[in-house]
Amino acid sequence: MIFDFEGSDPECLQSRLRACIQTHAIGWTLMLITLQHVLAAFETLQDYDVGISREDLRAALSHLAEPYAWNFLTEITYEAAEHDHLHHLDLYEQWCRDFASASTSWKPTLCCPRPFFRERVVLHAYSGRRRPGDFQWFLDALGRQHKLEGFYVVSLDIVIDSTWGDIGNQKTQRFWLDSIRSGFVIGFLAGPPCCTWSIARDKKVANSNRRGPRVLRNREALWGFWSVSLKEKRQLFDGHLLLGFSLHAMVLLSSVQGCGALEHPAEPAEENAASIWRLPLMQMITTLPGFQHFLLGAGTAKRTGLLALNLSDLPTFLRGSAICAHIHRNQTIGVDEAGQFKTAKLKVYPPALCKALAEGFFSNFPLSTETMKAPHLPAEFINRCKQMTCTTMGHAICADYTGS
Amino acid sequence: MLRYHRSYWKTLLQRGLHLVQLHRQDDLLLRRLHHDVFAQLAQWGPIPHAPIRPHIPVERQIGHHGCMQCELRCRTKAGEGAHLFKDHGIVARVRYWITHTACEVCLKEYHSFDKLQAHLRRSTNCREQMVTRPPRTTIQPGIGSRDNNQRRAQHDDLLPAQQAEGPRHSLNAHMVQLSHIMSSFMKV
Repeated sequence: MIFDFEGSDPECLQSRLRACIQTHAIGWTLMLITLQHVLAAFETLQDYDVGISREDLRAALSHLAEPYAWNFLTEITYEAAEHDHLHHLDLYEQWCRDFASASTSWKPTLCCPRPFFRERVVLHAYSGRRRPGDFQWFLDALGRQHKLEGFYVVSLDIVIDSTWGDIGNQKTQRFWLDSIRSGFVIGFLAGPPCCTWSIARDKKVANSNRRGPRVLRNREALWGFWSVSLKEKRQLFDGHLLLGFSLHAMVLLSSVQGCGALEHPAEPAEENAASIWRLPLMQMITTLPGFQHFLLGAGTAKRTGLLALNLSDLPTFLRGSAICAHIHRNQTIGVDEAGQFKTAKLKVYPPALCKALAEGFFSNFPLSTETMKAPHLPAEFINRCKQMTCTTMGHAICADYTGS
Repeated sequence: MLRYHRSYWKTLLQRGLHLVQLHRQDDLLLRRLHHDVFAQLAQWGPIPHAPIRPHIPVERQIGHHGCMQCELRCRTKAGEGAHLFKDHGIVARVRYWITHTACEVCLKEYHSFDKLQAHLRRSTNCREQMVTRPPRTTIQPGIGSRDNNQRRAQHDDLLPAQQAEGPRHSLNAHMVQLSHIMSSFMKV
């Protein structure tokens, strides 16, 4: 093509060469090698019989061998965090931060009316063993007091049902999330495991040279360190699974005007400590309409945070249920006589907290007169709820982490 | 280590692989969670503030790869090769001279096509002698093909290259033919 070129304009030759290259299915790597080869061949050519001068030809070929001569090679294409494609985590987290720090809070343009059914189902995720004075105990009592029929408190825990209480099972998780999305569930209470987030980690055990389990995350690595043991990674993964389900359920519940609460240790005073309240996703969720973040306890006692959805009267019930005016000064760091961590007992909610939560939830339930003419929930769903409604009291507190 | 502490080594490898697997599962779980939450919010109304970032990370924007015809930029040379094969049917040049898994010049049996390709890329002598011959009309399976993977699985990647016996072709000065072949691939 160069030999056939008639003319003396180097720009014209360059554009012809460019057009010629673009007619061939060739990669940049091979094209570069070829251009260099052609350039070297013309440099040593004895009988130079081309219309254009050797310098102009060299300039044209050298220019084409530069990546900057090809816009698509240097053009920076951007990917945007959208909801229709699975992006990297850091991009989503940036989106969450931008969302949370926006000057004007986001409001949905589409608002669905709250669905009503004759039955009322409340999910209590990771409820643990049944005990007198637990959340279900108070909620059942309120239901009896107000003569509510078709009222189910479903204990969503692997110790209650190994299949339909196992959130690690994809089918189970999808079933409950679909039920929430369809409006079959009107309330949701969850206390995802806090063992990997706990500030009690790495603390010195009293009267011993031992230290607690090592810290698995900090503020820079909120989703856990990369360099951890296999057991620790399983622990982190299980924690994320259960926390993820809880957050997803809360967001879904807000779309059907349900009420919910998520309990977790409050944000620690340490600047570098990890906490779910410092997660960009959590910070974004707290800015959504209907969500509130409460802080319970103070001073040296174990402080607790609550993410509440449509439970605006909850602080009133919490204050009303308080049984003492002062804060406990007892330390719960270390192990007891049986070798169990003292913090294990703290995961059992005290009856006063359960009572306040139950009253808070109950105040948000639709009145029985409102649902008299409402349709029934699907029979299959009701049967599963009945199967998952635990009435047998348990006695033992399971270990913090039993993953194998 | 492999000889005297076989089980220790295998356990170590298995644990390492399991940890990597868990890391990936965890990453996927968290990405899905964020994706699902945003997808849910998007159903209620438009979500603002979607951040953007370069498709190719800044630290990897040093090298340039791409297809000149499609004007497509690729992250790596492998990506460029994959695009050229999938969209234009272009295969590695050495595959035009491969007939089976043995090198016809040095008579070494490599048991799989990818190993022979790697040998021809590295051995200048064998490659130069190979390209002086006319290219084959039928192309043998390449790296990542089912046939090649089957061959690799058969000898478990542990069998070394074996020297075969037979007549060796002497190097002819077919430079004219060579330049003809080379120019057919460099049509510019």
